Amino acid sequence: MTNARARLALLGVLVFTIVGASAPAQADAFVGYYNCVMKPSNLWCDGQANGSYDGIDDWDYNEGWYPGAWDGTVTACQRLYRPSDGVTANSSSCDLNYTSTDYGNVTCACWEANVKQISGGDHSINGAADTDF
Amino acid sequence: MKALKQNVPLTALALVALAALAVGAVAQGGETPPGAGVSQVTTIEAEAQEAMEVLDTSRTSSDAMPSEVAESIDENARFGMNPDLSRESIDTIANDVYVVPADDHVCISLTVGDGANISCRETGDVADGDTGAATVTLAGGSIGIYGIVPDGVESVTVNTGESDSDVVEVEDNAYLAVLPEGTPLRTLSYTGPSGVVEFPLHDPAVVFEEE
Repeated sequence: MTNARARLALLGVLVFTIVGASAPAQADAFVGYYNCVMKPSNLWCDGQANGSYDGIDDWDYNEGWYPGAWDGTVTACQRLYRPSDGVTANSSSCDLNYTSTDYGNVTCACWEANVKQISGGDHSINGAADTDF
Repeated sequence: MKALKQNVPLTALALVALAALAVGAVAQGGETPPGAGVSQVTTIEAEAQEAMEVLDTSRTSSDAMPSEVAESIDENARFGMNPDLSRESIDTIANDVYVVPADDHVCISLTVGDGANISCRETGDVADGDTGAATVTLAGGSIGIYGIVPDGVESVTVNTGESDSDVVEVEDNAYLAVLPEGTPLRTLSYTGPSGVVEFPLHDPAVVFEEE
């Protein structure tokens, strides 16, 4: 392999990887998945603390769930939060194991989607947000 | 190989990018939401009908969920829930509660604005009277507490403050309590087929503030 060809091949791999990793699942309905492993109780995942971050978008659906055994010990909570003014959208919610909200018509691409677990101890908590639920 | 060795920075960058992609793919594979991909049910399962009389009654036009919410659920049905089989249990000016049959689950939905909060319970837990309540922040900051119970449970108790409690009547296997903003929540309890059960309640608004 010549040096030029090698450079070209490596560049191709790099571009493919970056584009592939950043492309939304669907062109018109971006779904953001996020998980926090062994998160302390009552600490937000995603956009807060040390969770992964899906960014600010016009999320119209958010759900949170406990990925462990649903034995009634872990409460999952979710919310949409607008960092620009600190507002939390109506219909934030909590429930044992799993909670979700269809936020209806959301026009402002200004929301963070967060989840957290409440259990009194460290547990994992997962979430998914959708821009076109 | 010699060419690769001569492009060490680029090779390293490509390998790091590929590794990151692989890690991301593994992480997403473990993040499938519960109940995703389950085919929508077309009939109400017998166990659910036996446990909840509201699901054993004929469906009328008033049982239909708001069309936009139903369409959203149809496109992303968790646990196979089917809004075409819904029953309206509670109808208020601002918020309605629907029971939505699903696959081995019974889901409940509380309308909020033009959207809805949705939770799902295992049918066996519903039949046993072993399911808790969802808490939702409503317009103006009030707290909605809602859930489903099996036949025979006529009321639930919402325990607030240090020792206060509110008895909430059950309507068509569902209950909805709307409490003023800032009401301290403790537990929800009721007596069902399995005896007395008690579940924690968390005010989402307070949860936000506590971090």
